[in-house]
Amino acid sequence: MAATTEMDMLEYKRRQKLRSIAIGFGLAALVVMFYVATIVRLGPNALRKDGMGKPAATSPLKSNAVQPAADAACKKAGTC
Amino acid sequence: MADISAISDDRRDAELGGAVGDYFALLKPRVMSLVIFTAMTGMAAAPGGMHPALALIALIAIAVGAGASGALNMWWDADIDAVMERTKKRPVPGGRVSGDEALVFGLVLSCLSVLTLGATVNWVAGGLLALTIAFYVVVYSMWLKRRTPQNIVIGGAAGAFPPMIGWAAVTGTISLDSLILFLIIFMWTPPHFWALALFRTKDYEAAGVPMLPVVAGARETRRQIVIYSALLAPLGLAPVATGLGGWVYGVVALALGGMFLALAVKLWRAGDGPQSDKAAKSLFGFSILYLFALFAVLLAEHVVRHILG
Repeated sequence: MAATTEMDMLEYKRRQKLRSIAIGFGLAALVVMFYVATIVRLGPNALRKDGMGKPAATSPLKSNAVQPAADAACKKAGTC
Repeated sequence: MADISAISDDRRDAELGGAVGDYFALLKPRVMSLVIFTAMTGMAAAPGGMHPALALIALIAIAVGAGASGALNMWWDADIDAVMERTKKRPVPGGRVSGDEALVFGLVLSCLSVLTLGATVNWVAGGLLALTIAFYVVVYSMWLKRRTPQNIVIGGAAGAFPPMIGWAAVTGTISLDSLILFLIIFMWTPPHFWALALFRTKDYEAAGVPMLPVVAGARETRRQIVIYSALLAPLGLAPVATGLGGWVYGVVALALGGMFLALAVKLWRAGDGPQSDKAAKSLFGFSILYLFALFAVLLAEHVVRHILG
């Protein structure tokens, strides 16, 4: 019985260690997935060191529809 | 740590805690592989594109979600799994993983998979994955399975969701095409499982699961199989009508659908004779090939379309 118990103890620790390693890999995979998804979703701007991204082309302030009107307004006011 | 010095041999495994392989078995890897495959087809067939990294993350999340529902199913059904020959060696009835461990394992993976899919891809896909898990565990396993012979007819919806989730991961929507993919698997499920139940009737009877052969008899089951097969064969051609499938898919779907129906009729004609079990096994085996081939052709067609631009 003592031999069996010792073997059980070793087997218990072996299984526990393997389960811990598997959980570790699972968590690491989760972190990597969220990291990659963030980089992909933010696009190349995520890698700029100054933290400033290129303004989006669809921004209302820079869109073709709004910009001419803004230019005309600043010329009229003499603030350009 | 548990006192393992006084345990009896039959509880030894449970006290030692399951091995990693036992937890993997809780995920029902064979079911998971079919889920991955059909979800991947849904993604490839959907209009528009998706970053490959996000597509991979979506597939992993869908696979883990499907596996989690398998673990929760094994937790709930441990008592009947222990009675059935086909399932008695599963980790929970086999005593290698406790019911509580299977429950926690399933719940944690369910939450993580839904959150990951929702947060990284989109919440329509995440919501559909949550619905799939809930449908499989609550509606099928807890509610229908032990109560009605219609269990797998309604519960089959859980297995039919993956291509729809894959589609939603790309488009963020549910469309007629994704609904057709859902309906093909939905209609395929009853003849597939009833064919299995025909040559495993004693197992289901012993476990008290009211599968159709147990409740209504083999004759009625064979009749229902023919009806569902006759509905499935033309439904398999529906993707051609909407443009989702091309002519290669159409030819394959027509041939396989015809073969499916022919095997169902052969099973019907076999009656209760000695050929009955053999005919049921043939149909069961072919049904797996049918679904795999149908989705493989659809996947191949769309991959070729993507490559050719």
